[in-house]
Amino acid sequence: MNLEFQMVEEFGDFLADGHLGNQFRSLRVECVWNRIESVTFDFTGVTNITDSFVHACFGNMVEDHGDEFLAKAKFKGCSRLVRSFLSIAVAEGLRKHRELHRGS
Amino acid sequence: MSHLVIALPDRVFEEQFPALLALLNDGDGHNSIQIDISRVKFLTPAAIVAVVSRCHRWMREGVKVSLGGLNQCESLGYLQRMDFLTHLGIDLPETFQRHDADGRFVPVKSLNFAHGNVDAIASEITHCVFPGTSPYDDVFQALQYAAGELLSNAKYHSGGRAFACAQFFPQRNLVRIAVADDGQGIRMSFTGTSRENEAQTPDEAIRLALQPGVSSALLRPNLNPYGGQNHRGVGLSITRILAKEAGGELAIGTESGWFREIRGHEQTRPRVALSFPGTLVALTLHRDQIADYAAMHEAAMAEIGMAGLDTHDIFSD
Repeated sequence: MNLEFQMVEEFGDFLADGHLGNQFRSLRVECVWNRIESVTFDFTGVTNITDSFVHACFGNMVEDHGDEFLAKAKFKGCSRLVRSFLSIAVAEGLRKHRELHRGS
Repeated sequence: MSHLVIALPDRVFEEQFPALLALLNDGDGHNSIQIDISRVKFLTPAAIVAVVSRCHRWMREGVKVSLGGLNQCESLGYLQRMDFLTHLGIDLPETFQRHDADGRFVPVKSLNFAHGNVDAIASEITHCVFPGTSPYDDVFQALQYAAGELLSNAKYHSGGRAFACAQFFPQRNLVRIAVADDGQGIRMSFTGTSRENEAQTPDEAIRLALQPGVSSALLRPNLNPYGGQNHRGVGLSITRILAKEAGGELAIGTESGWFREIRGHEQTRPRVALSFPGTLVALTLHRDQIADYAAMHEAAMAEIGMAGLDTHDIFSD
């Protein structure tokens, strides 16, 4: 299964609510994660984002799946600002994943 | 039945917040309180939401709250425009056009998150302060981010009702935004968590909340139906750094706790016996000191020890 999400259609141009980000992660992505071959999050039209949203949505996702997330997921249409937020959230999620699974 | 008149001072800027909060504290224990505005000439957004939030709490507790000195108040029009009177139950005829507010101030908003999410309310506030400004503008994005994080904290940590307002002062290129809630306060949010011992006093609780990566939500058993966490304890820390870098300030009041930092320099705690049930956060940013918001945010994240990926393979055009 190949998925693509238009983030502006899901949330509008400003992604700020951590609760909604976490809900989206759980109900739209995690529930089908094992059947996903690739997933693209298209940020075209997204002008701004908060740390609460990006960490609740993507930080949690990367923390759960680690390198598997990097293999399956792509971010598309990101402005310089959105790209910076995502890059930090993914790096932080990977750090936590590796910390949790150290020695396992 | 005990009745108290609280006469608001003529001007309340950031310096006078603690004294205002101490003054409001006098109202506790009375059955009837009159807020006298006869001397008022100017209240900052933080002062306005603090009074409105405190009055609403009293009203919920069954205290009769009224306004006095309306006829003597030189700034009645200003307070009307800020919806200060409306939120205290007074509706007077208006002699101004509501659309005048655009580009200068955001009247007091009662935040009912059930009918509007954090993103929508934060965007509405930002559009009102900077009408017609591109959402890609650096100052617009910085204010929208800060509003989003402050409102998010009020939504998830207060457990109470919140009020927000904002104002832009073009001569000084200064934006003021404030959010006040009448919830449990910061100290109580750490009660029962593994770091409760570090938040024994309201002052200690504020310092703990300002630490990067610390959120009371992260310290509690995760009851989130979706798993994962809605918070990472990053937003307030980054907002604090943005305030410093934008030549502004951050002030936080909760119970008897107080914190104020101007351009990154912490101010001496005032000696007044202030008290605020819930949490009040006031932020100022200087518009002309925000040139590259993306770079500012990235530097702020680096300051709290978070950096981006080494590889960019995950991004495509």
